[in-house]
Amino acid sequence: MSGTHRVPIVQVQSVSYHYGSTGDGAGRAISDVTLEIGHGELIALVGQNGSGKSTLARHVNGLLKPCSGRVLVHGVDTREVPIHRLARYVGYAFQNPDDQLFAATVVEDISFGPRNVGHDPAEVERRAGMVIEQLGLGGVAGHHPFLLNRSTRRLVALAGVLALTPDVLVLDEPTDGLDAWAVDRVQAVVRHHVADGGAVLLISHDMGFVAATANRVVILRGGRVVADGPTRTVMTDLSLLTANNLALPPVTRLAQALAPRGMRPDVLNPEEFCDAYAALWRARHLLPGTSGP
Amino acid sequence: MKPEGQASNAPGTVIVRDLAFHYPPLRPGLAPVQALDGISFRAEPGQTVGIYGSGGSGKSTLCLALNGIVPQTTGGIVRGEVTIGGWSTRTRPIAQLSSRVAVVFQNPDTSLIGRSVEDEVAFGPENLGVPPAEIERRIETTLDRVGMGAYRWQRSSELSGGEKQRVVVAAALAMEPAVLVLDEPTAALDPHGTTAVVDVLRALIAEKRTTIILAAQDPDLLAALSDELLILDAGRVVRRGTPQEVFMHGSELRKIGLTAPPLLDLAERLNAMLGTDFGFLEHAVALQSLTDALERRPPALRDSVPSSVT
Repeated sequence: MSGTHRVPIVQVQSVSYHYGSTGDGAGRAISDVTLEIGHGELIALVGQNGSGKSTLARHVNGLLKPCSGRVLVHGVDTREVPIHRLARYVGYAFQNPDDQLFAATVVEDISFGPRNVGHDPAEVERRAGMVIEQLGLGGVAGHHPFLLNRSTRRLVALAGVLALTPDVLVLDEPTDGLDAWAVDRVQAVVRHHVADGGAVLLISHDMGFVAATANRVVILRGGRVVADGPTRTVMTDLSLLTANNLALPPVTRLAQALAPRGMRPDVLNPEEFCDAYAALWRARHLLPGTSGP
Repeated sequence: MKPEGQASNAPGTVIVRDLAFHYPPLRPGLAPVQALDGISFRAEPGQTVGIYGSGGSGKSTLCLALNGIVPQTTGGIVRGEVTIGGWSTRTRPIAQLSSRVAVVFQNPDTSLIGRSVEDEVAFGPENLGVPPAEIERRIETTLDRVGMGAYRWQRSSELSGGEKQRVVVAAALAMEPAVLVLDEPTAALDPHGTTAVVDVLRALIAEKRTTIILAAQDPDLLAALSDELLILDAGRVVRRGTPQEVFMHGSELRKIGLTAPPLLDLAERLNAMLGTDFGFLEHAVALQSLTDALERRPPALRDSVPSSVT
């Protein structure tokens, strides 16, 4: 994972953190976490509730500073940079959009970030227009954010983060409470972001979404990294997932149950499942050489 | 089932009759905003009614109409009627309604105030005047039920999102409501937490015959619990039936921004590719149908639907 020719955007080095001073040390913490986030990576952080996912993610944008170890963003220690400077490089979309929305209209809310970091009015307008288009929010640009439904509010919050064009996007449970249309939008946006050379760290319980979206998966348990590898390796490993109270994506589970009939056991999404099953079905039922209906 | 609209004295009987609701205008001079239009359903003790709809379909407004916040706190224009065991949620004080109806909202931070977990759970029963020894018993049993017994003395503000939501569910259960209304209760939960909540709800239905109204965007959750499922779009019920009946209309669901259960989606994709006739919602049925279709020879496209599984 390190041997890449480009320096990672984020380097989390032996980071430990605990909340408060209760001293029990067992809960609410991360321990000795090392992780690199490189250009073009779409990483999913998975694990049980309380495994430390949000705590780790909040180190990436400098909201939390490590008790020991260090976090480097573009080679600079997050302890040495104010959060608002880091915000240009790391964008964080919270699980609850109401933690970050405050302006009177959608377009003003989205424009706040770019204006605040000193872009001129024409550039602010250009950026707001671009992300509104990307997330399909044109119809609600003049609305008050709090009169929108939660699904749309989450898209507005994400748009505000994107308007700062950060290198790394951190998304906390991006599909939680989203309708199908909005999930498709989010998926398109994160793919576009990494295709452009950015990186995405997504925290999610939605195993189907993770399998269909991420290219690398990190499992946290009790604040420690217990697995870190390509999506296909991690998300098809039944014993690894079970040991961490996680589940196979539904289509992968079905494919593995059909493996004794010749089904490929490592499919990650419905497209792969259907292609593999259809090939099997045609081989059983159609004469050799005929193509499917 | 009795006809809708007939009064009932069981505290857990929920009757919604031709409910329409407009929120007050956003600014003076603008039109009121319609959120619900002609909703009717009935739920008896021990039954679960699922509400499936996309963001903005009216799910949350409907949940708020069941405990009186709509319209007593929000204002607005109401037509039709909502009664809980014969009490109208329009006229009966919210404090009194809360002795029968508890609501779990989608964002746990709206329900928690950052005290210890046990204080969060004790808050509701204390307000209802439940004796201290009984409150103590309820704290213990409800936290155990949601798997949060070990967190009793922790501050709720230090919990993760999923843990907070389990505390909110425990706090609702501690009220021992006849009717439990849940608005996206598992959105913040990992699969383990979701299973725990499903188990808790099943136990409540079996042991206490609680009436459950469950609004969600997770088709698998709705399929697992609902006796009747209503599809809500733009404030109207556009389809109703058992989960099996409702989810079989996958393309119709997608048109209004909803997903069909993932396995049904898979079945429809395969049908389009192979000309088969699959239609399954659950893993076990899917496995059986897909296995049968491989074994059978010559290709039988007639009876691979779930009803063929005996």
